[in-house]
Amino acid sequence: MPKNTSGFPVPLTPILGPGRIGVTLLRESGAMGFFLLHGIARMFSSLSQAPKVLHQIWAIGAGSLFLIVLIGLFTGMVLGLQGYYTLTMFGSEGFLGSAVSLSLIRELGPVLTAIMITGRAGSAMAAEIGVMRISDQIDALEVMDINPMGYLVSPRISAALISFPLLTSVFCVVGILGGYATGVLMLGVSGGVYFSRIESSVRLADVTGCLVKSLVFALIVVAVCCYKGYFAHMRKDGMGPEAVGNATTSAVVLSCILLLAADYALTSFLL
Amino acid sequence: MEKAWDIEFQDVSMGYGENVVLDSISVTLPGGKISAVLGGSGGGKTTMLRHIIGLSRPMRGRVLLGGRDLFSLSLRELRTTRRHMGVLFQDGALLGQLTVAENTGLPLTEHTKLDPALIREIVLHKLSLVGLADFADYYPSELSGGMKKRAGLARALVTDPPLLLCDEPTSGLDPISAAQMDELLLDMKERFPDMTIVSVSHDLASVRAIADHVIVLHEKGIAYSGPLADLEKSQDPYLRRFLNRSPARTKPHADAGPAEDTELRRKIHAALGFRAD
Repeated sequence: MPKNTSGFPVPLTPILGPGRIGVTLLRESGAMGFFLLHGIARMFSSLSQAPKVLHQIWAIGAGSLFLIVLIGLFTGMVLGLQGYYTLTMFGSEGFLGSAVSLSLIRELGPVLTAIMITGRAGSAMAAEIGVMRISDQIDALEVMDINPMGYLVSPRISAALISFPLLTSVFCVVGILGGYATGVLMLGVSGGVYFSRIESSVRLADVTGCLVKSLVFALIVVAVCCYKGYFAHMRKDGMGPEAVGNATTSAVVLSCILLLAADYALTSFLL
Repeated sequence: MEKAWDIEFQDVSMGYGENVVLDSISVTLPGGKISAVLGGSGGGKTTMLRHIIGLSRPMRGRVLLGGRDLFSLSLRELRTTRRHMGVLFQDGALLGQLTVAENTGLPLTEHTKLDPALIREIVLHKLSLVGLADFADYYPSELSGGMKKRAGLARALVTDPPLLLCDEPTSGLDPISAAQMDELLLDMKERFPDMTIVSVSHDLASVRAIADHVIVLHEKGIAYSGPLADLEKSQDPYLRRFLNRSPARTKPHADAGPAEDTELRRKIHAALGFRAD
């Protein structure tokens, strides 16, 4: 059978491109998985991690709080507005509390929080670690026998695992209050009905699912952003600062794609 | 470490990907001395240093520290070996989120249970050696390039390592700061006679001031290895050019004569809108 320049049979040529992409994706996913496991393994390596974890909680959690409150408030207000007019069509505006709270707790809270943190803290993680890589700082850590994974990645994993569920909870609560502001204060739904519907429709499994999602999203964001920064020097699409820029962009894009894919998979299991 | 370590390269080839930077070199940097690695830009000086530190693996051959092959050590042994090293990177490689004092004391805070007050005392002592005691609480972004380099040296020295490796310690420094850096390395050598110092440089004045032993890299190999005094006497054409700072050709652009130069200059200036007068 005739073969092409890559040494494969000619009839296989059309699938070579997608095949290569698939292999690259698999290889990258595996490398990222091992990278994450390595980081997790060093999370409890010493008590000296505590100040670094606190610093990262400040950077990821406290630093993102205002943004999360703002986005949560407007998301809840939009949900309240849209929900009210949709439910009015069926004469069931009393269910506004259920619609807003379930939308937020099951889907929008974990997903939007994770995407917001990716844009704000995840990009900073990738850029910071990338700059450390190209300016020999990671090499310097290795030479001082300080494990760069333990020093740079593990505290970020711990901080993300603490910050993501807290920020997600804040997002959901503020979102519900945003829905209250439009539905109850502006459009005249009864406040008692709004909250009683929330109480009757939100189950513990919904809250647990929300927190499970936020924990999985935390691992995805940290793994992707730290990995992309850590290996910025090995990128083929640029060198030095350009590589760090490209690594940051690809970290944010890939994180968002993986977040939505993981959200679909988790929702399938949790429903 | 009781005895100063020799650093031996045995038939080592090194490079990046397919690109061979140094090919089959065999050379020894004697322990307890100041060795300087000289060579042109891109000649493999920093690559050689990275192999001594164990940050890059050779394509072929062995790198021996004190008679032990660096790349056949277990991870634990490699880590122990690295604790015997102090490394000054080209731009200092200070961690941006830590102050100068925190950077300098990092190996002690990470590996020891010393009292923070004692660590601070040690750090301030080391910073005073490099003239930065007053800048202990500054962040790297607040320092000049030379100060970063000196802070990097203080960090490299904080554990009093038996092996000190410096990547271009004087590059980018003004002549006075460069001379101070040389003095500092000589002072270290005087205080710790067993310390082995390797300085990668293309600063001839600095090499002449500090080196006991010199290696010159050229065309992927070793052009010279031996005492500084013998290098000065060498009649090898490349080494003479290197030592006398003579250009490779007297007319680097012999194909472009003065008339062409003038014409090109006129076009460039016209394009940039320079006034003709």
